[in-house]
Amino acid sequence: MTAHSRPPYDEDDDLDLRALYRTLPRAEPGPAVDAAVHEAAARAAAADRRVWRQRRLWHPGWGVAASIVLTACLFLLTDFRHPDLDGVSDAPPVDAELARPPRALPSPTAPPAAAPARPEAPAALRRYAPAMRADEAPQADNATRAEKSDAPTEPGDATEREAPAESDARIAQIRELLQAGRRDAAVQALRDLRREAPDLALPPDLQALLPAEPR
Amino acid sequence: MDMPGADDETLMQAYGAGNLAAFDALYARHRAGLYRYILRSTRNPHQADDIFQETWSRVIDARARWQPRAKFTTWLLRIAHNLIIDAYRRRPPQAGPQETEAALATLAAAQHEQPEQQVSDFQTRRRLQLAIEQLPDEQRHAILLRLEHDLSLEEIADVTGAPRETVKSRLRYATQHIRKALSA
Repeated sequence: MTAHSRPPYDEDDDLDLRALYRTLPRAEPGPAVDAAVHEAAARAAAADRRVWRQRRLWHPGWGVAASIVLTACLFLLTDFRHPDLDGVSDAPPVDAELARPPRALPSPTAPPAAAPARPEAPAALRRYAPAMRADEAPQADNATRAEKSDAPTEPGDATEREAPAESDARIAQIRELLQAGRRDAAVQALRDLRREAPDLALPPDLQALLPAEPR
Repeated sequence: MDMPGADDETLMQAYGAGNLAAFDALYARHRAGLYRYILRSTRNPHQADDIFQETWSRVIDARARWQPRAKFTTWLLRIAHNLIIDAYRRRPPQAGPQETEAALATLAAAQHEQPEQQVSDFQTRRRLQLAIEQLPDEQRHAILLRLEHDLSLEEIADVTGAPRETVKSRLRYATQHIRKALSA
């Protein structure tokens, strides 16, 4: 069997054909096709320019710069002194007597002379704490002391905070007696209140019930 | 940028950067050769127009991501070649040999190709056209890339996706067929 021999293809073998091919009519796309392609290319380039313009306007660097400026302004405007210590040096010295924790409530049975002569209203109102039974008083007093020794002492003690409410309750009770027509009982309660709390400022209408009573 | 002196890859990158004049220079450089390759491959002027525009549309779409890894001409012809193959698969050529011959003959001829030219030259060109039209698709694509764009075997293989030896075989058969038609 004889193999079919084919001449090797030489890239220069077709030089004459390439020359002849160039003599064929030079077909070209029509003007409409040219215009369509150019329009598509121009439209795409315009879209790219719009995108790049927007990117230039909204460059991330602007956001970073704005953040830096804002942070710097906050840094400059912020007072870094400790707010709790601010003004301490300008404050007047603390009165040692006022800063001292309040003492325990005296027993209702104790004579009035034993009570400390404290002109401050809160100290006077402390006497209006609810009356304790005789057997409970020391225990409660001890418990109060124990609590005071355990917990840090605060100027706003619970008993002290409840004193104004107690006086208000008693004044309201006196008014109820007056409204009920029990003037004598109201005057007696008012005298008791005056005696127990001589420094308590009574409302004018109740004060009028005790014109002859020396304060 | 000196548009006329810039190479294709530089022009394409310039267009990707928004330079429309670069695209115009690129288009002016390749429009005729690309169109002839598509027209003589499809043998259908309407289909050639569509594929031609679609080829350039894909070039435009790829403007931003295009990288000069290969010659622009090879890339452009590969796009067109793939579109031609897709068109073949979608539908057979609608134009017959006679219609194709008429379409190609009515295309504008150069000044030196007016009727006063010698009849033998006219007949030779006509035979060349018919011989190319009668080639199988693969051989026609290969010989058109060779004759129209002077592509090497490797470049034709790159465009068509066929092995180099296959391209060489196709060119050999196509050349023999054309020479036989011209000598008849």
